[in-house]
Amino acid sequence: MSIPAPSISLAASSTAAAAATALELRHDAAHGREPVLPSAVGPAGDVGPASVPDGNQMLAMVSHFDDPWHGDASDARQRPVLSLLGYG
Amino acid sequence: MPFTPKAEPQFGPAARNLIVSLEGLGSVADRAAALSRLNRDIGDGWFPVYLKLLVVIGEGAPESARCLVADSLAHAMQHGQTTGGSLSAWGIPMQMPAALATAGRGFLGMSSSRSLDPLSYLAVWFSQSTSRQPLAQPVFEQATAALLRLFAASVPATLVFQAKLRADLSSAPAGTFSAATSLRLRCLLEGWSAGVAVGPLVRAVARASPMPVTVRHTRLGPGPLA
Repeated sequence: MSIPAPSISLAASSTAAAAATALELRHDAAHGREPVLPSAVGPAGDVGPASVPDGNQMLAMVSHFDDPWHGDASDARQRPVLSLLGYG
Repeated sequence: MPFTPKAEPQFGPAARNLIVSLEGLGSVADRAAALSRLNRDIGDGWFPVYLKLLVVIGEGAPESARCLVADSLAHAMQHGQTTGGSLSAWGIPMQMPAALATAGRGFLGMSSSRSLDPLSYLAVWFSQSTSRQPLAQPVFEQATAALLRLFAASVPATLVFQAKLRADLSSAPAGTFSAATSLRLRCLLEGWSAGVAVGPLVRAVARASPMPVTVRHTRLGPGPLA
């Protein structure tokens, strides 16, 4: 398969660095430069609910993107991605 | 403890935080690695959760954010990083020992280890019998449309994922795709490459079905007891 390798140019966001820190992105020494999203995200002792929707229901859930650039002081803003989705 | 979704995952805030965190990384390579890591952390068993995250971004994120994510996915795909999930054949639990699962999938005509990119995953889930509850048509259409909108924000993503579909259709091992899946993916690729609008395209893809088998009835002559 021949896949073209176009040049990619991305603009950096001025808000990005602080937010990334808040999301607990860290560099894993064991993996060199690989940025790591935290895998242990639930509060200590947290366990999953007895029943969760199946994949079909999960995909069908109504959920809207929250605009990140208009003041949100909620707790969710500071939480790692995985912890907003589940337990791990 | 493997990832287990909450009963009501916060997809919107998670999508937002993912984008903000990706923006904080210095290169597209780092962003691709982070997305792949998230993909792996969620795991094959809950790949729909990762898919939903991409769907939410494709549906609602600003174009610059969609471009950021789509560029990262394209980079991950080009560099062999995780950008998809595996679906097991019907009746084979995701946690089945690898050797048994391989044998079972082979028996059921499904490749054992092939990872499906997000678009192919949706097409297989919708078109074939798998261990998951069948994907409802409106959900298939909505999710596929959102992914197409996500990829449309990035020329590299459009080119890379179209090339991936083209390669899969021409070289996937026998049994990876059913006739219906192949037809739908071909329909998707042709319409996407031709610039067909997303809405009509996904509806056409969902409705595409293999030619019905023509059963020729042969009228038999009167038998000896007639």
